[in-house]
Amino acid sequence: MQQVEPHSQPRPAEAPPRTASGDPPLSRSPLRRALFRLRRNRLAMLGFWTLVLLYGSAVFADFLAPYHYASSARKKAYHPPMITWLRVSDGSGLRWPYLTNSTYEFDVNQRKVYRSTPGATYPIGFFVKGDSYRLLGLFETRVHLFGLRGLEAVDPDDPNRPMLFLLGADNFGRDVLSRLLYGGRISLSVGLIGVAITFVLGMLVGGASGYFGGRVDIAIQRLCEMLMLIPGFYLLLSLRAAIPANWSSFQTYVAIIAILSFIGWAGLARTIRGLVLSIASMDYVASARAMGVPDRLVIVRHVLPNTLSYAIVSATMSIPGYILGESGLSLLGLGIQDPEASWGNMLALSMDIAQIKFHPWILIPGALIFVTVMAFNYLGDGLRDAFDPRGVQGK
Amino acid sequence: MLTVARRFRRGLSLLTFGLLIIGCGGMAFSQGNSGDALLERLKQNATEFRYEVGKPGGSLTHSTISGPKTFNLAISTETSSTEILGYLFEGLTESSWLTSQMQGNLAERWETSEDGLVWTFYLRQGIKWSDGAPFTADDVVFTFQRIIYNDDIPASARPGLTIRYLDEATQEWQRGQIAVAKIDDHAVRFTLPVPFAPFLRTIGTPIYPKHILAKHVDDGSFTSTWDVGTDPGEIIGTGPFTIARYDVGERIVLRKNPHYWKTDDAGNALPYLDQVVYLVVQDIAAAVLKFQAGETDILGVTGDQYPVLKPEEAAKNFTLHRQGPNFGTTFLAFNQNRGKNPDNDRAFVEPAKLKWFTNRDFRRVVAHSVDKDSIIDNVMNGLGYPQWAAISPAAGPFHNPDVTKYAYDLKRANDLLDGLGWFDLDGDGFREDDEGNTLSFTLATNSGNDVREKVCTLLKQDLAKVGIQANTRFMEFNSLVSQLVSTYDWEAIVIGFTGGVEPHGAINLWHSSERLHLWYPLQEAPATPWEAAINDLFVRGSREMNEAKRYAIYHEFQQVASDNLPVVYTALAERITAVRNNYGNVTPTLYGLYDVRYLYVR
Repeated sequence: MQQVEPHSQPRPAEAPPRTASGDPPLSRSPLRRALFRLRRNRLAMLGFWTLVLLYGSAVFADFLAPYHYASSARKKAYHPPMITWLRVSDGSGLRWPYLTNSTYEFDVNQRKVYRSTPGATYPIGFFVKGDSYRLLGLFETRVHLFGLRGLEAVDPDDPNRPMLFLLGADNFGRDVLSRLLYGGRISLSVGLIGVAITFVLGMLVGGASGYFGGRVDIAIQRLCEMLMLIPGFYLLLSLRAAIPANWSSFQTYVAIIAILSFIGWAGLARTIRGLVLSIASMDYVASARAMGVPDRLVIVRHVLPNTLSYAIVSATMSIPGYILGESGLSLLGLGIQDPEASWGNMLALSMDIAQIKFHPWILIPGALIFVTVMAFNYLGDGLRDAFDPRGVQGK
Repeated sequence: MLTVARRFRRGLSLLTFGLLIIGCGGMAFSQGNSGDALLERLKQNATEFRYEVGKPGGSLTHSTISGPKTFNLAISTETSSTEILGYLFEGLTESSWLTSQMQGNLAERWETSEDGLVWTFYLRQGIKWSDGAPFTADDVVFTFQRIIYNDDIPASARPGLTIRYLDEATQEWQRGQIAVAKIDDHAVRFTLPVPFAPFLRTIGTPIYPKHILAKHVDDGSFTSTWDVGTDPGEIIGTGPFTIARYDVGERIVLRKNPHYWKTDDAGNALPYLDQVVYLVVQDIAAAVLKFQAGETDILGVTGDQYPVLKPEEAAKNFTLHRQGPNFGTTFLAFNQNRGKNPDNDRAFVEPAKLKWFTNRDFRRVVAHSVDKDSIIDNVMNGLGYPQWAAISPAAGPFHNPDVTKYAYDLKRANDLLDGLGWFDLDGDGFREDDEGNTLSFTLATNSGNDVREKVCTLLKQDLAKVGIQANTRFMEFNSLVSQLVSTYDWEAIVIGFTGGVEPHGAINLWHSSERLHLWYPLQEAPATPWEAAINDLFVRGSREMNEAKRYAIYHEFQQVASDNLPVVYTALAERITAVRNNYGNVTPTLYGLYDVRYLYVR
């Protein structure tokens, strides 16, 4: 039987590699063996599938979300989640779940209280028409996975139009669920793209530094140290301040990724350099050089692949840093700016204790950041265990 | 990360970008506002209020987001310092917290000549500085001649005490000063170059001790005197309190001044309180928590916090006092600066954009896109008032309720743009002007100010619906101010100004020659006829001594301003203060909640 094990421990001896479940024989490549071990780590797989789910929902955000991220009904600010507002009975019998419109009034404590207003009913529907978008950037459509039906007579600009807020509304009367889905696109992709840039930079610079040594090494390492000396968050803030005011939100988004990557590569370059220093002294590297293989090829073919297992683990573990970095910037109002959604700027609402008390659903983006970071950490831990050569030597 | 966020907020909130708050009397309140019942009640409170004879002792604890930056009131410009030092210094006159009428303070009474140019103030006998030295006319003359009108000292009171007038002989604009002369130890004469209506209010500026400060003015060290490093015991004033201690970043303790001159009706010494304490807290949320925990006795409350505190009133023994619309305004302005940067000869504003910004119809489009109801309900939690006129309804009869109003009407805004002939021809969702430039500009405000950020976001959404692209930009307050007053390279901005009862205080925003005339500052001659008209109205308003005629002048000014829309107003927040119930002599009025000298613990 398989067992969940403490994820950071080297894995003990495994059963002989020829069972019905298709365990690979020891002769398989190290990568295959690692993947095999990874698949047997339940926590890591939980993290992996969570991430698949999150990234998948971000890719299909515009289809899954009932509304566009900026779509609002201003007279429905902080509308509570509607899961409990759905009705399934109209007095005479069971009906498909439906909503009626709702309006607020201020109570004696000047708190907004929403009440459903009798009148027209709006049933929940699947594959309903709503805000138009381009699915996967390819073709234009208005079909959303779910939403309200019966809106034919409703003015789309009415500030009190009926909307479906499964997870509640934010301070401008926008659907939190839709914004979470759209926000995931930014918050989740920042990590992936940022890490990709960092790793290309870090591996190449670190590889060159370790392989060539000497003055090149000294120059590059001092540069890295200078970058690492500056406290990360303040460097982030000052770089952010350098972005021109009139940049569009997409340009700002790209700039934020660039800034985050710029801050991140130095540490990686140092570690890679250390690895490369030891690899470069291996016999096979020496023989490759002796055979006249150009330096460029030696680095790319023989040296860097041996740092890859470290790099993959490290990349996975550092993605949460980017997600948190973007969230932090957006939380301070320096990242993605309203009305564009990111989990960070959505969370900025909850910087006010009063709002959390009355509208706890504004904390959901924080929960999602938490889940994402945990998932990456579990996956990263699993990868580290899987790539750990001691897992093999332990036999 | 949160700590950084807090520091940001703290840094921003202590800056005020404001006008001198000077005010003038008059109480009849304008109608036409949703809060009429509240305003009536506040007025009634003021007329019915009588001081109770209190008992000495006790203390009052405030919270503040930042401690004072200087103890030198004469040159301080931010409220964290002026609020504390206001307990230490007094003027010849003061504004009543009940009626906002001017009444004697250091001066017992005054006389004025027929033509209104010569004023004689008779000082109260027996007033002492907090170190025991007598207060005399020499101190008054010293304050005006050596501090306020001293060009080497950036005295914050100087602009308000500088009088603008047209010299009849040369037809040139003059900036006059008030001549101050000592008659005897307890009488001072002020001579004005021309009649000046806000005189009685501006003359309430704090008076400083000659026997302490004269030597610092003489040796040129005045601006570095009385900084926060000074032993607080050396800060000498005539006011009801002195600074007992200042623990930077922790607390400021103010102690009763034993030499204070004022007594209550029964002849007991004032103030009643022994101490006033200011606790320095991290941010607004911490201030609320301290108040809820009973560590502070008084708290300024925002609309968002009102529903949190309201249910706790009885259990925690306090009352939330609603005090009507604030004087401070939040507005949107467009850069209409026609000038060029002398360094690189580039226009401050791109010519295409300048063409839109100087177009009145364009500004009307924007005015029709401001959703004041949503701002009030969603940003101020329903505790706010729409603002249409340049002068807040809080300013009483000066407020003009009948100015041109631009209702939130996106259809009207669209029609206006169609009328200008600007359509979206390339199908990107945004209109282009005659020359094919996409209508797109940067809308900036300071980060950390919740209300302004949300106003920007709402406006951005609405402008997008009419085909105008506004890129919101939330920047650090200091860089925002530097764009406004030195580099002039902004496009549109949402910012606020403080205000007061006296409309003349706003001259440094409205007069075209002023540095804070945001949309085109420091003009040699007014660029537009309506700016010339506003200049003229402000100068006439300051010279008109007949109250009714003054009201008419300022009503006309508000009409001109609303017709031409150099600034588009948003909404005024309600002033709300929470105070513990165990304090006596407290009642909410339009102008205040109590006089600290009469405040006592029941």
